[in-house]
Amino acid sequence: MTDEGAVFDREVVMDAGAVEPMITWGTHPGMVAAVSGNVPASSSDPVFGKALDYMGFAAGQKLAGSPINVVFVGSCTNSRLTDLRAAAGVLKGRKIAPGVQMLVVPGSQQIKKQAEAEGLDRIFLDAGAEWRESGCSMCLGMNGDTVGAGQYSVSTSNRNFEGRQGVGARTLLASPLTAAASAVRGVITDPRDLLG
Amino acid sequence: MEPITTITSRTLVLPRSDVDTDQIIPARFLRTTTREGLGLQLFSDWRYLPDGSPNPEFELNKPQAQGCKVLVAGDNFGCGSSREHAPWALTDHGIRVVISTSFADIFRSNSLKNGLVPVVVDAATLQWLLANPGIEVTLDLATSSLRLPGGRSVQFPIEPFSRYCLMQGVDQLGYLLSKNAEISAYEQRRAAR
Repeated sequence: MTDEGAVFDREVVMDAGAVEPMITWGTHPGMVAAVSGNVPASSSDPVFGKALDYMGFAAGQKLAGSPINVVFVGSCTNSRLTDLRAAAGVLKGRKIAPGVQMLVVPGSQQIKKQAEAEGLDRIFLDAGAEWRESGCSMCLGMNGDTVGAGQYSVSTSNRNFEGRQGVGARTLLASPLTAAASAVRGVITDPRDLLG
Repeated sequence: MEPITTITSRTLVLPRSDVDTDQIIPARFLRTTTREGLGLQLFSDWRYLPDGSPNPEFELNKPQAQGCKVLVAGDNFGCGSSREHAPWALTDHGIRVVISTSFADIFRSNSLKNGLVPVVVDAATLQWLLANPGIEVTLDLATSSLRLPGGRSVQFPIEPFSRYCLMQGVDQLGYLLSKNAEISAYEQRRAAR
């Protein structure tokens, strides 16, 4: 909490309800669009064309429905207990799509134990995901957890630079909800489609 | 670390913005506890072709790049992960100074503690440096300035303590250790009270 009577340099009011689920389409975290939206048709970003080439996307193309190969729920950015609950909420009673690999890596051993006490590990395993030990894992292609060249990874980490998750790997940063929904459909999916 | 007073070198120009730490040193090379040898993997994915041979198109592999201690690059150099291996890889390769219009905070902080001098210049100066690769420049830490050809000189910002450490060739721990006698004397006085 901020101290009573604190004075701010600048106040920004945001309507969180108007923020849609977002996903990155490029090679830095600023290259981002609504999951229900499109890759921009054009951009003043000097690396726009290079990013599209690397990602295998066309300018202006629709994002939802684009095939994916790997889903990573983890990293220091999004592997709190609440993140795991959110992802499990989407996966409960569902299976991940054939051919998709999904890793769930809790943020710490403490979170892992808490999640297991709630039965979240069973939900992930029953859905066909891997329930792993806490660690850096696929956030930066550590511990042998890499994404293959040309493959698409929906990842709840926070870096999507070229080669971040493996040489030639294509990273799409998204929330745990979007990641879990995309794992179920095997394509980039707006989680609101599954949450009804 | 080697103390730095002045460094004179031709510039190696990398005309790219937003050079991130995953490009400076990819994560797969971080499984090391020593800095030596990281320079071989500096900019690995740009520098080597898939068969492991040097990419002749990449700036670092060109003959004129050999021996350069000063790197000039576009805006926002060192963005991305906090890995200290990024300045380690640059210094192991022989780079002692990086010039750009801005640096990512953590990279800048890591550099100052590892004998790599981040030099921020204005956009016009950077444009000129990018357009004139290979010119000779001199870093002068005592005056926080970069001397350019033709007698021109530009100032750059650096905190006095960081500058002191770079000029002494110590990091923060090294600075503390240099005060060991005073610290021990203080502790003895305190214990005697």
